[in-house]
Amino acid sequence: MIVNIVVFFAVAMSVLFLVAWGLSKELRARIEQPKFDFLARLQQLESVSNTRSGSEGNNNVL
Amino acid sequence: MQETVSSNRAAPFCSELVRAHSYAALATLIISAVFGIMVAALFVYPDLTAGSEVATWGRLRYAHTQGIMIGWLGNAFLAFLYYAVPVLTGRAVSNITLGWVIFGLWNFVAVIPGWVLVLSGVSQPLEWAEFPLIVDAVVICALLLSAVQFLPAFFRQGLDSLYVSSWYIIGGLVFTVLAYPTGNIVPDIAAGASSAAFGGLWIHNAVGLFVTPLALAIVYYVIPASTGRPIYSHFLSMLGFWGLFFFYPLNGTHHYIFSVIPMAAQLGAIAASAFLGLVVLIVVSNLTLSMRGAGLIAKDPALRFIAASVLFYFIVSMQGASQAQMSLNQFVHFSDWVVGHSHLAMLGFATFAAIGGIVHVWQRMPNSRYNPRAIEWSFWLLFIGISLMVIDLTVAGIVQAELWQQAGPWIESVRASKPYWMLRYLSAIPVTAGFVALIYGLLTGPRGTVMGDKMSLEKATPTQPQLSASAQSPALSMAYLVTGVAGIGFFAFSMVLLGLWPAKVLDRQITETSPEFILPLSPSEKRGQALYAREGCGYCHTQQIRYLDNDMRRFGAPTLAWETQFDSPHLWGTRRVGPDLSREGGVRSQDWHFAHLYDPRSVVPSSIMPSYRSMFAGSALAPKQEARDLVAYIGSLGRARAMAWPDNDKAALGSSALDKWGQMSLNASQLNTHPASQRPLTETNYSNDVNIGSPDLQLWLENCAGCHGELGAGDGTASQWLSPMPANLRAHEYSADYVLSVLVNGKEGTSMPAWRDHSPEDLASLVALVLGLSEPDLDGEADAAMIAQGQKTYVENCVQCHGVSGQGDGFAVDRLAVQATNFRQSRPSLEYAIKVLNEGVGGTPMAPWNDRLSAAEIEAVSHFVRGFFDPQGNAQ
Repeated sequence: MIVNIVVFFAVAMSVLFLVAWGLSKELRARIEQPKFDFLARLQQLESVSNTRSGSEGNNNVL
Repeated sequence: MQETVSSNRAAPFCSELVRAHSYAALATLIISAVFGIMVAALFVYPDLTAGSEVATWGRLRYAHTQGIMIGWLGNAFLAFLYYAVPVLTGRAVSNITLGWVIFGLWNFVAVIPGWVLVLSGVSQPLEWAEFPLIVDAVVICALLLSAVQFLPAFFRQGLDSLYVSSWYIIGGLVFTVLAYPTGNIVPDIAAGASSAAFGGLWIHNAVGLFVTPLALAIVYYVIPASTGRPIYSHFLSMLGFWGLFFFYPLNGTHHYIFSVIPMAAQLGAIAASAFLGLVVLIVVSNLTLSMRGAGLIAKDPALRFIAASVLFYFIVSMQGASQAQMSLNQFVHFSDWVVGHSHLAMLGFATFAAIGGIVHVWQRMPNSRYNPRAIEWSFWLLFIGISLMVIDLTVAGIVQAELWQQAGPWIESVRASKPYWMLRYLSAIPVTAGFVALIYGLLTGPRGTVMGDKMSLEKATPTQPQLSASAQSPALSMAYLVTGVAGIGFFAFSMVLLGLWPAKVLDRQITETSPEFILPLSPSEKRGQALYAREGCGYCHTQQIRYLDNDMRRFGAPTLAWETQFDSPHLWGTRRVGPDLSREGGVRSQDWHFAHLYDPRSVVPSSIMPSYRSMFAGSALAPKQEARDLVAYIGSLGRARAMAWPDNDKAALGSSALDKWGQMSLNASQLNTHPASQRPLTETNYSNDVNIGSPDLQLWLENCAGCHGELGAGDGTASQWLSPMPANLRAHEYSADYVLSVLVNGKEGTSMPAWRDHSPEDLASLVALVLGLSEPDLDGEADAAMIAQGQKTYVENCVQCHGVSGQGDGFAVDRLAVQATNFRQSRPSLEYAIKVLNEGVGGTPMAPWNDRLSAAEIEAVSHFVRGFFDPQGNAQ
């Protein structure tokens, strides 16, 4: 019984994700957007830091 | 103290808090590693801490695992969160003062007192939950405060644009707040199998809901920060996130496969483990693709640690998914394979991720730079050391498992493991050196105002992405609610399915199969149980016989739920360095256990069990109350079922609460495969017609010499502590049948246990060796008159116990604690017989007779009893 429940939820969750992914182009873009936002945030942070500290700072970043 | 952060506007993260938690992490890492090294050393040098009440194996082990999880990883994660949360959200954490409160609670009210308490003997015997309840309360408090500290920044930002690291941080904090109490408190309240069911969930949740999410948050953070590219797929990362949080809580029961926990719950956990493996495959693929172009060995030290962490994560997860499957589980479970697996998870995956996070952050803090060369050394030393340790333990586990499948005695697996335990101990050298190099590297980097004192992340915050109309719809704005309900729902789902429901089934099984009356533990036995828990005995000796042929053959009938129904918390254990103790009561004498606790190698020369000399006043003959209590408890193990057996088992066979697995236990041919009293020779596979083998001296030295002495004179190291003393085999002649009978059945009332886990060939070799030890009396002849005098004396004084024909079957024999000697099968030397008649035999009903018999009568009867001996061993 428990196995069936686990398998059902596993399949349902996978289908839900894949259908959502396949049906909506906007949703695809929306789901992927945070990784670009995060990278932009990091790059902006690094540039501010570099501006403040000069060329010697953050020598291992990016 | 000068605070780097005075306001959110000036600086979004407090570098002092990052630094404080990092230093605390490194300090607790070293201390925890020292505990771990001592634990590993005790496998190689078991008497290393003999006599110490504090540095016992169990207490050190408790301090090691809790120190690694709460001290090292907890601090490392908090250090990273103080840096990463402001970057991820563009907002500062809730309150800097609160941060110091959390820091103080975590380290000075939880970790350090936790160590002090477990080393003082105040603990709970639950894996990954060994700190006592009072410390648990502090940890829960600190976790709640951590949630208050970090979560509002995410919620103010809105879930729409949450990066995957943020999801993992939210998930990790929320789920840990839920899982910690259920794992640390509920198993203390529940009992027996139910306690084990909840405890099993925590064993996995500790790794899956606390360590893994926060480690993955670091991994997902450092990769783009280091490569300068976004991760490969945010969609896959979210699929992985939800998959992990759904399946992880459903895994815990796989620690008790083939136990009495309902098979439906076990199968559910097995299926969830397999699915979890698939999810991890998705996660690792995504992470690997995200690191493409970084090279096989990344140049950035932080990324290098992260890449190794991902590799370890992949291996440990595939290992976990496969070892949860029944076919592999029945083979490797309880072995060092599992210990290698957990080290790979905590020391490989999680520790590398945590170090990667700290190294990454260190380079971005004011006045903190690392020494790249030292960090590189650290990486390679740790990578080599941990790989060596895990490979070694994995191979050791396979060797142990293979030996357990065979019919050989348990101690063979201990002997075979010794080289592997030595190698594991030596692997601590590169691991420790790696940790030292890490600390050196972090402390010796260039200093100065490299980045200025403060950074403003708010100024660096990029413009929020423009969301589409659909993304701004009311439905999607309810993401808080949806994700909250789903997340907490997953956890509740697992608790119901694998905790509450099995508890209900187990209650019914107990009601239907338990005897009406169960002899409860005496106060002394209860104190002994607490000692057993305190000293971590359950971490080397299980108290659960699994529903497997091998377990049944070796230990007896599988454990039913009612047998441990009063054990709160449970003491089932998940590792067998020594044998299972479920049915230990009655197997060995009290003296044997005292000798074993005081000097384990005196009775089991190859044993690696630590000595517990602090429980004695200088000798095994002088046990303190603690030793008496512990031995009393060991003597009670399996007693309830033995007392009710076989009537209760027969009655329970018709129970509706038992599935085929339960029936398997009730139909077991033997309840206990070891106690002498229940194992007459005729019921064994051993033939009465002994084919005497070749004497095997090594076998003798490894198994018998501790008590009987190297030459068999009954003067081994342990003999001084045993009553009655071990037999002087040189002073007797025995029939082969008799020696075999004693080897197979033991000798009730003495410290001679049954040796039935040895092969017939081994026992035949020992029979040959024992027969060869005898030194026949060449000067023992007597004339007819003396024999007649001896017969008269015998009939008047000895027949009550030894019987008319000397077979030890006199009418009083049923009242004797130790069986009277059967002279048909055992002939004492004349000198020995006279000595016994003059002095008696301590610890047996044989009293001195020199006050009732003259010297002539003693000599005569000694001659007479020697005449009973029948070398063919035919007792009839």
